[in-house]
Amino acid sequence: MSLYVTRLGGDHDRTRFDCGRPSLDDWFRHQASQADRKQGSARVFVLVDDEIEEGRLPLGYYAVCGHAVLFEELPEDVRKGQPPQHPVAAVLLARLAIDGPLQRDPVRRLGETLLADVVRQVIQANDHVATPLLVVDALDEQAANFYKRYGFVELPQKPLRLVARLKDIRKTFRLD
Amino acid sequence: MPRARDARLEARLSPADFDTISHAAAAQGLSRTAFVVQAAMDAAHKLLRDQQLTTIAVAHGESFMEWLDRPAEVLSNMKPLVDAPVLPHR
Repeated sequence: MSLYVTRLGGDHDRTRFDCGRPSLDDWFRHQASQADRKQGSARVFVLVDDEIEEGRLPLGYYAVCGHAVLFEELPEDVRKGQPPQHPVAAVLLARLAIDGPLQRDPVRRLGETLLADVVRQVIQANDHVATPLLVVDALDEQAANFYKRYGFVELPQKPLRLVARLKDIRKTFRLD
Repeated sequence: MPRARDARLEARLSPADFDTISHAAAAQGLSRTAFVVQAAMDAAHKLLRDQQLTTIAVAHGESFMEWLDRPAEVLSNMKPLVDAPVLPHR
């Protein structure tokens, strides 16, 4: 078994991908290529295995894009001359999914492995373009709990949108 | 610049859903088509905005900024990610 990650390409067979969450499956099958190649609104990476259909069958995927956290704009009479808050730049992990049969593989823990890859890639990007936050979009409470297990915390009043500071991530990975 | 409205969108739906949409459209004084297009566009804009932005209520702004400014700390729960196998990229 020879797992690796690569950017989604036209030769990847997405038609059989089934993580059990229709919105993640449908987006991957029908929208992912357009988002990455045509619109440039997200980068989509797939987890494949050289020994399974010569690396053409995605076993998992994730999609990341630029993001910003900002505060609701206060009306001028409440703000009383205070400047508006600037948005805080972030990377958004918009989607992460593992194909069904592999989700409960207790040995390889592919969800954890793929999340680690996301974090490592975001750290690398952060070496070149500083972004204070990594935000993740959880599909539901179960997914949110998955991210919480690794130290992500809920944004205020947004239980399905979680966040970690890049400076904490870098320190955890002993980079700073 | 005026935009041509020549793209078509069709949908098949249950009679019950059709009636619900018809009643809602009538309540807003819109045709069914105008109502459906407006609702779909509102949902699309919200979804795209949510993908680009996370908005935090002003009431939480100060504590959020304080959290952001705190010194870096090790996230002990994230250690399994540090120890996870490194996947090669090709």
